[in-house]
Amino acid sequence: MLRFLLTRMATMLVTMFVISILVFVIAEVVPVDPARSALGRWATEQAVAALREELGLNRPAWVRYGDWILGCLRGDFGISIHLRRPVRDLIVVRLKRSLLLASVGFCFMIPLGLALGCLAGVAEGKPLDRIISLTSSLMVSSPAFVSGVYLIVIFSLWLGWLPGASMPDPEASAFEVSRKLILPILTLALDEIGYLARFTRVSMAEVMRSDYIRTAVLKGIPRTKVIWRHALRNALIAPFTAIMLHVNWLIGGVVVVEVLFNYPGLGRLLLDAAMRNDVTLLEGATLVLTFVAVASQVLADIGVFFLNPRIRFE
Amino acid sequence: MMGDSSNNALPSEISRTSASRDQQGRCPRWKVVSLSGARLPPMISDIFRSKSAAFGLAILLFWVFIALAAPLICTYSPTEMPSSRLQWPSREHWLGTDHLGRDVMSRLFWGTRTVLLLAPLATLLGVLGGASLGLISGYSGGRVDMLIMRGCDILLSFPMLLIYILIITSIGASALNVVISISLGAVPSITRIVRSLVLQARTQDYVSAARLRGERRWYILVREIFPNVSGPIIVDACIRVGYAVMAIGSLGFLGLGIPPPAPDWGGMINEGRAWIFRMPWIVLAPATALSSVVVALNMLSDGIKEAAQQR
Repeated sequence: MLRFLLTRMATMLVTMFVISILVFVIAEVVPVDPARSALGRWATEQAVAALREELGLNRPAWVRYGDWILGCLRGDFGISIHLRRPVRDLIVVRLKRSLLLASVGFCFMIPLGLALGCLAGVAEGKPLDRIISLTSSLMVSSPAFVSGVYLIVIFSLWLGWLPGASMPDPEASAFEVSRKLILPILTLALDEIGYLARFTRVSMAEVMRSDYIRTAVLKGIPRTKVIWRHALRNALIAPFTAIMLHVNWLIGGVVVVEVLFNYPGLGRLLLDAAMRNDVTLLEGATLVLTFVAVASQVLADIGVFFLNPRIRFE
Repeated sequence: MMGDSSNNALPSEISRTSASRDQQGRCPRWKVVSLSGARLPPMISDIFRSKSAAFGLAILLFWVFIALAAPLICTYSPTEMPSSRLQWPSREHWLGTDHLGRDVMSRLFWGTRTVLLLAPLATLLGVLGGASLGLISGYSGGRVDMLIMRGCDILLSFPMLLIYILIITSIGASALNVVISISLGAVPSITRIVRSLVLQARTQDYVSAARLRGERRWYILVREIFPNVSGPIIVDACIRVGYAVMAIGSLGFLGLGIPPPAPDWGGMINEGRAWIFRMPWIVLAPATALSSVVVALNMLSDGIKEAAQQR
């Protein structure tokens, strides 16, 4: 057990190390001159040279990488080129908002996705399955900006129930703030519900066809009891891993949803940094978001370990 | 969301259904090989016995027709600004005009070309890269295999959209760079799938036979193994084109896609967002079009999968 935990942690460290190199190389080494691209085409030579000096771009790349990664380990991600503030402070505020969005989204999507998938899987081939499968494949085929646009048109424009943007307003009451969050959370959840439902359906249908379920049914155990006692437990392991492994997909959804609803989270910060070629901010935000994804994958592995004692790791 | 969902349910379904025997213990047809290594593709008629596949293909053909006939159907250029801004739908402009006075219908139809050209191209490049790596990895095994697989694991834990954003910021936004970043993003998961297919194919008699005949390694990989694993790869690629469509759309929506004024569905949604409360169709038209293409591709791949299973 301990050995398993340690190997997972070691893998995670190696993964993060390689990813940090990748991020650094793509963001700082591949473009010809990060200082020039940060300041734009019309900046004077002197301004660019000054920024190069300030960012230490005249030093060899591996020295810069070393400095950067050591700083990151201490929690110092450097100063944003554009906003002139420590990247860490910017990220901390925004990350909290994004985590709020994502965690409430999770609370919506997991029960809904699992329930729909189980219903469809149990009723495989019946009309209920057809309806759920069709809906979930529609959800899977609509990226967040498509489903979000539909939700805005339906709930804000036609029905007028909910606001279509979610810029937080410090004056607003808690009720107003949460009302503004409903549409973004719904958009985020819709994206994943379809995926989760499809995955659960396959897993559930497979379990329902298995020999031990047939045995249980033939023994005369009532159908509902068979489903609750025997099928669910085994059918839910696969979706659990699936959803945790899908966190890096969810992060993409968070970026799009934040942009669509004007929600000032980490995803929008990252996109703004990308648009302004703010290299330090872009690197910091990417690293933090990737860490969230990698950490959740490790959690998924540990979770499966506990859920399914049959699994033996090499 | 975003383009490629690396750990999606579907690849594992594919490898399961195609590689293992089905309930009755029959081998799916495309595992049955002649001595020369040639493979019978699932018959076209089999695919269209499934209603969903036929429906999906019909939608796709509709968009292909629109893409080809765009210059004939559209009376307005997608980039010129001939009329007054933000017009309501009329006989001249069926979907009205956008905030720059461009005909929305023309932009929608011309945008079909962007999507139907770039998405398959990006997928093709991704499959080429992923299939080569997967073949090498699965066939050679040992250290090479381990190295490639660890690399894939690491890349797969990287949020896909962030890879796109990073690459595009680094090399600039253009149609070519969008294709490059999407195909690079697809490589690791394709590599994994192809590798698992190769691992199953490697133990088959026809591979041993070829080895005993003294065939060269690349011959065995390209002429013996690849044709036999290509079925599942094609089904997977079909879904991947859908991901690529969504990825191109997302990048366009985020303002990192094909640079304006070229017509691009994601970009249209991004630009039209500001007017969603006055003229929702500016946004709904490209959104619906994009979803319909992805739905069609998913239905088609489901149909092909079913056809392969049933035979």
